[in-house]
Amino acid sequence: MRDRVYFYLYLCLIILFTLIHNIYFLAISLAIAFMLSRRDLRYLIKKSLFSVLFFSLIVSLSYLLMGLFKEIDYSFLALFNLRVFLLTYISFWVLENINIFKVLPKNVAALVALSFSQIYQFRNSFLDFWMGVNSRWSRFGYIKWIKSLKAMSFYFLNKTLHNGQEISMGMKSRGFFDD
Amino acid sequence: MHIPDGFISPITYIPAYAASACLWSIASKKVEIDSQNLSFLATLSALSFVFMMIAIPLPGGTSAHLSGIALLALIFGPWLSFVAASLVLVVEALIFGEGGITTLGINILAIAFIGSFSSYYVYKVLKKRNETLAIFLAGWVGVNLSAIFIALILGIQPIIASIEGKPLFFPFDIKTTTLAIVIPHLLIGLAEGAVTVILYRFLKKNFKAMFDEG
Repeated sequence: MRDRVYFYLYLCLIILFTLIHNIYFLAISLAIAFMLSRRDLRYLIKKSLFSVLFFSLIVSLSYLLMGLFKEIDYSFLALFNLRVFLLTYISFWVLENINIFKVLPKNVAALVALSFSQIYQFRNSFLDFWMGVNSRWSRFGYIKWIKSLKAMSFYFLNKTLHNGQEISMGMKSRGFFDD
Repeated sequence: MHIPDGFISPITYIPAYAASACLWSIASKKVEIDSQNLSFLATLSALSFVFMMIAIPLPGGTSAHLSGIALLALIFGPWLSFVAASLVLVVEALIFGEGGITTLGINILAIAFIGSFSSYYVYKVLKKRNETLAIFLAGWVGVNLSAIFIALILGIQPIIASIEGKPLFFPFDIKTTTLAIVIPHLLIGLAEGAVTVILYRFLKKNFKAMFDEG
């Protein structure tokens, strides 16, 4: 229940932050978010900055560049970057502190949880696979790359079909489905 | 190609959420999300994620990521591909914190829906004339139509969300977003098309039974 309340509150807040275009309001909201999350402050700032830096920099620098050719509103940069950072910061803070699977309906939660677990597993296998491939190459070649890609896609399609059946049987044997 | 939070106005992302929800509702009936399919969809989304992780090395030391949506749509059909790719985007946004929460609906429409359906129907229409060309164009069109949609969504922001000509969200017009997003994707699409042809042919040869079923 607690997770659900926080999640809906979070959804209302992010909509509110995109509806109000006042820099002071956004700055005060960010200050409040910093105070409330002071335990994880440094970690969340670092994570949010890392996440938004690339896109925010590209947009901000391009906007400044545009300012060389035509008149621009410099306060936009504060509004835009503040909003992007605030939304990202709050998203990380809330999503790390609630159990998202308790918020979603049972079937959707099961689907997202299963997908997450499989994505996590597949991602690790994928990274291991390319690390292994790279360690065996003295230099890059497209033919070798395509051969590796074929082997990888064969392995993962096989794994997709096989894991799907295994999980389904496992869930059935543990009484997850009532059909 | 994900759009982060704060780039898009509510007048755009709220209808996009509604459209995505409608598509999900149709998809859940089309692919029958039941006990048999639940686990398969989960593993399929993981496969879609892996395809998205493949980096295509480009001359000059850079690389572009494959979307893999065309490959998925050609193997499993557009609805399964749509559901799997959407699930990846949901997991990325809600759990990994990649892509935006407000922009999730738009990302689903652009990458999962437009990518899957455009690829599938391009292939379907052209496969009788020349199958290889049809697969290649499925990959190329899928990537480019998604990019055009993203460029349009970003490019209309200064028109629909500004006060006295001052932008409130993404500040550049359609001309700029088209140049910045669509032109690089015209080239990335070539790599996507070529990889789609190679992998589709290879998998069709090695998973004959599965392709014959379809």
